[in-house]
Amino acid sequence: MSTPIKDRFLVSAGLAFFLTHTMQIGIGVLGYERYIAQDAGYDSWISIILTSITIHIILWMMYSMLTKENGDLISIHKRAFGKWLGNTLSYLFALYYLALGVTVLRSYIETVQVWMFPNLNIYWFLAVFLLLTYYTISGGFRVVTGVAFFGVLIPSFLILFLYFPFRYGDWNFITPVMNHSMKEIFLSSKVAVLEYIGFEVLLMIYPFIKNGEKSQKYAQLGILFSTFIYVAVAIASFVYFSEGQLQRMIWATLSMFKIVEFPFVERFEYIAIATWALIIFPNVCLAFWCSSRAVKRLAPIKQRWVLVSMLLIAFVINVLLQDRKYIDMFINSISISGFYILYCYIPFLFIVFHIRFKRSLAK
Amino acid sequence: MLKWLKKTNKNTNEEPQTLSDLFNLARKSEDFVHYELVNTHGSAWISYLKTLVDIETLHRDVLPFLQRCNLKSLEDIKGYIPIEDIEITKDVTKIKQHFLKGYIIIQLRQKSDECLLIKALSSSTREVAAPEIEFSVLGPKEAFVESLDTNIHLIRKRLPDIHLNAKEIKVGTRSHTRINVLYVSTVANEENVQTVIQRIENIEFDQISDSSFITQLIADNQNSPFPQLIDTERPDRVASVLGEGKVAIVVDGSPQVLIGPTNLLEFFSAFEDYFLNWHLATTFRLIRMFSVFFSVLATPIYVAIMTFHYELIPKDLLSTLITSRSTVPFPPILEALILELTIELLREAGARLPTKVGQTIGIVGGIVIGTASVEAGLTSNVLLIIVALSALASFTTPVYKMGNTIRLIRFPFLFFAQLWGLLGIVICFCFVLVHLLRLESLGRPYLQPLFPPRLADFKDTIVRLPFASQSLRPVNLQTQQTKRFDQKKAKNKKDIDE
Amino acid sequence: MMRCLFILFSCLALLGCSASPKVLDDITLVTFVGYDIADDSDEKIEATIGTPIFEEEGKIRNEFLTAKGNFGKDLEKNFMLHTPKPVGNGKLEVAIFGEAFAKHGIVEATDGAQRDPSISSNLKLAVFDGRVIDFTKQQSVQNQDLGIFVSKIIEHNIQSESIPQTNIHIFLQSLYAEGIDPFLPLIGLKNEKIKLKGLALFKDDEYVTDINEDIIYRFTMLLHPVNRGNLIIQIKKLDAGVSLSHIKSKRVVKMEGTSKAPQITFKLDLKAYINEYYGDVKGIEKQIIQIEKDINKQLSKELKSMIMFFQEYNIDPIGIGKEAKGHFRDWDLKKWKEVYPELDIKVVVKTNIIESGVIR
Repeated sequence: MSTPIKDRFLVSAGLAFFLTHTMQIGIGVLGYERYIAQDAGYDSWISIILTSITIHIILWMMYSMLTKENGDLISIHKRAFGKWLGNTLSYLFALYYLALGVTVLRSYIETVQVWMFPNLNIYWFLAVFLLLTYYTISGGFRVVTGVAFFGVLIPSFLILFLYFPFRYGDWNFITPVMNHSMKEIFLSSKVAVLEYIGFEVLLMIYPFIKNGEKSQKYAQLGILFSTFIYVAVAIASFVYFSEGQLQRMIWATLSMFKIVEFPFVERFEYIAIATWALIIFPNVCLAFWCSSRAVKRLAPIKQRWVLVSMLLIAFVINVLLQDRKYIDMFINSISISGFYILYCYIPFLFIVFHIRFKRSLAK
Repeated sequence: MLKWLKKTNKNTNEEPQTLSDLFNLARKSEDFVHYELVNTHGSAWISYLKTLVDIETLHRDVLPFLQRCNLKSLEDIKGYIPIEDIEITKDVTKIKQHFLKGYIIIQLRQKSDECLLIKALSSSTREVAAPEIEFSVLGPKEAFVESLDTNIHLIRKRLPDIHLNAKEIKVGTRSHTRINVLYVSTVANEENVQTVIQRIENIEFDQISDSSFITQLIADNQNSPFPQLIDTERPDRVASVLGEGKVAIVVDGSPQVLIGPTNLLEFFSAFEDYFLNWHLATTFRLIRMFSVFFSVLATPIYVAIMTFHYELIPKDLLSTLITSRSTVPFPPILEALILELTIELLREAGARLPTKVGQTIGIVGGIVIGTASVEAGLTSNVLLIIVALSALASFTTPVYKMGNTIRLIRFPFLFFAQLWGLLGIVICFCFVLVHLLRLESLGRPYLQPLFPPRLADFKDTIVRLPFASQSLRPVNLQTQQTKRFDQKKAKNKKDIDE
Repeated sequence: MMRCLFILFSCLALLGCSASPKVLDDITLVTFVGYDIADDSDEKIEATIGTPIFEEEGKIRNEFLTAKGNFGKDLEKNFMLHTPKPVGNGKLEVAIFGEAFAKHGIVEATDGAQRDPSISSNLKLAVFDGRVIDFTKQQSVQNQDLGIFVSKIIEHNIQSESIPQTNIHIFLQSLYAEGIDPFLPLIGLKNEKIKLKGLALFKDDEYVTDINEDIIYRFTMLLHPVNRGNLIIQIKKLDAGVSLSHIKSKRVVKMEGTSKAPQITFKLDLKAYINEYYGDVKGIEKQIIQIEKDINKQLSKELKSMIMFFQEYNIDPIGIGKEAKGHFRDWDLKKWKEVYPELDIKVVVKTNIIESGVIR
């Protein structure tokens, strides 16, 4: 059992909505359409819905463990695997969270480099961004949650601009619905999982939620909202781009924003990219917070110092990853590990934990 | 040399140990009066500072009675003189403090330690006048003055509530400024009141000249550019927020009263909003919110777009912008900085000069310098419009201190806009956002009700809904009584023609 | 103190490392680009760019530069040698292809525009019937930027539905989609004035044929439902002509049969006002039904012949194949291409005249 967190550091249950949702919508939404459409073509929006159902189940598994343990991942690990194995696994998870943060940041910087500033000085940008991250996390979990809250709320105005691609769209592209085999749709579902990765942070932040057990409803809603956004964006880009055209787009969502024009501003994608900083910022903060929190719980080190060293590591990794090829490799390996964590490790942990829990009750 | 210095230092720090020590120190001032009064029944020693004491009180209420009364014991005298604030004490520090606050000291013998303190402070304060900073067209035209008692009088007059408590604390090792913490004990959150009192008592400072000192000294984050307590000169505003459950801090010698805990959005609500219909009030508040964003972001966005993102400019605006900038030799950031600094210069000059000269400076500076610099090709006229408008927009903020902050935070935004264009602006926005999220006002989150989200409190923040819907006090204050009035009684549902 | 100094210095260092600026007035804005086939076949492309020069008192002069090269960046390097400021593509408004160039395929020329994120999706592509170099020499646009001028001509005609929506995005959408072929506006010069002459129709990315300005609106009606716009129809029976305005159409493509032998019917429901009428003007209200019938007959005939014209060239700019793909589950591009030219596509028009103006 972990020591209870002081009341003034807790956040209310409703905010679980923002915490789960913000981790899912990140950099992936800028260009996932091409990947999911590779197998199931323009039926792949169905795949997203299929995936989301499994994600809801996994979230339920996570909650069932968390509410029983009333602690975080580290205490769950301890109970399920004992001290040594449990702690080793927890360290792996800390590493995973760290990698998650680095991935998001690196892919965002890549987007900025391609779309906005090809000769962006990555050192300074990283330094400023990581300083900002430090400033946020050192304010405590409430501030991180606040950032997540505004990071969902403020950029949500971008949804309205999906109107423009729909206006230029052609619904003939996505009819007839279900013109692909189930196998293709499932293959696409597997790809779509990658878009949902990130809500594992709930395993760490759960003790910081007031009335944690009540927050499940909101967390599930958060996933539902992510699904809504993914499906809406997917359908918008499917009607906006023809299938051959979409396969040529690396950042289909951003390319879609290019068509938005107003009498006072043209080329909306620049505004979208800049606003995207607000979307990925809570992502990075939450990932680093979870990672440093995990290490703090495992070793007798101050979270502040863990955080500082992690930010330094993130800086170095980001600087080293300069090539599109390596960036892709890095991102892919993180995505794959995320996939296996969600679909293999968590169900496995779920079973082991419940067996152990029952046994300890019996004692 | 050093020895001598040390000695004098020691000397000045010396506190008077006895009453005669006090008088010896006081004799160094010319305005010290110390003489023996003799009448048929005996004699007494009277001492006071003639510049502090109200001579009329002395002549009317003290001297005639002293002459007639039996000067045997201080108790007798106390009973005889018709002034309510009379004390008998031996405590030298207390005597010293009272002496310096306009009390008359009466001793029976010159060397005696016991004395009588009679209050005879001459109160010379300004008349209560109309508010200048928070002027409103409608509503009461009273403003606080420099006297604490008058100020509390003004508040009590509007809030005749037995539960309105005033806790007095003296602060300042040299100035001993009287500070009153006002709150309605049945409404205000106990924790808030204790926080305020605790923090004021913990102040380590020698001279408190104004309530602004207190704001800065008890602020949660003293390194923040954002004011964390509202200062107001309107008694009606103070009375109203006291009823809401807030705490007010009245400082002697300051015409500004502090109220807290507060939140960011409250700084953009003027008290006049309550005098107008809710539709109008809401519209004006929204305009104010918009003007804040405009004021902070307009110039940085101009710089960002002109420097990095010319693609964003609509084709119909292209020629306007290019021709306006074609003769300007500087990059947009320099151009913007020059203009912003000019405006700040004008404002600062206007604020330092007497009102009439200040106005002239503003007009002359605005028109002449603006036109001349455009004609000389130093700045583009488009930017001139933007900068002037954003300066104007910054003045719509009702709380003066917040207006200053808004003008200040424009500069970091400009800096970041020059760095990374729109992306830089967003990053800077994140910094400000995180700062605001970390900030607290008397231990309450500063961004409430935005975050933590409190939907119920929105009825009187960005918008102002009708009074009938304002039956509950703000949630973020966590007041003891959440209800202000019964909403059911306030609503009268009537059928047609009834 | 040291901390303050450190922050100050790092801020200054930061400013030195800001992203490379492209200040609006320090670049040569390119708003117009044209492509021709070079005369001497040593190099492939001869490109012309138009840049506005902003002079005193708000006057704008167009300057044109020509260069030869193999592809876009090659050309750009060439242009740089001429311009006082670096070239900026961000506000490119139109790209015009010479007739001969378009006949050889234009997709390579658009690659740069697709790849470069600073170029708008709303870039207008057009074909000029001649050489673009001649176009720039002969046109007489005064005191306006040529690129913006041409793009505005196209834009406002799209707004009033005289021509269907077109830009680089729509072009590529059709190009990469199955069952539809792209089209672009065709511009020409008449007495030195720029004029929209019609639509250039493409097979893949090669310009094949065109339709002229009189029938663009009929083409639009086949392409998508319309909301406004005008149509002039001769009514032979009454020996009259009628101009319809504020046309609102409902467009249904009815598909029956199988994907191998589809029966396709275009059903158009029009609601329109009579705008102008010439011929026997004695009380047209009595003859409205007759007029409607004639319009139906006449229009279906015209539309049908238009479709047959497309079939003849084996192109499908109105996307019948795309519609079929959306309908038949077993649609296949190869088979469709075999079937398409032989199809008998029916057109049924139903007109409903709502108002006939303020006189009888």
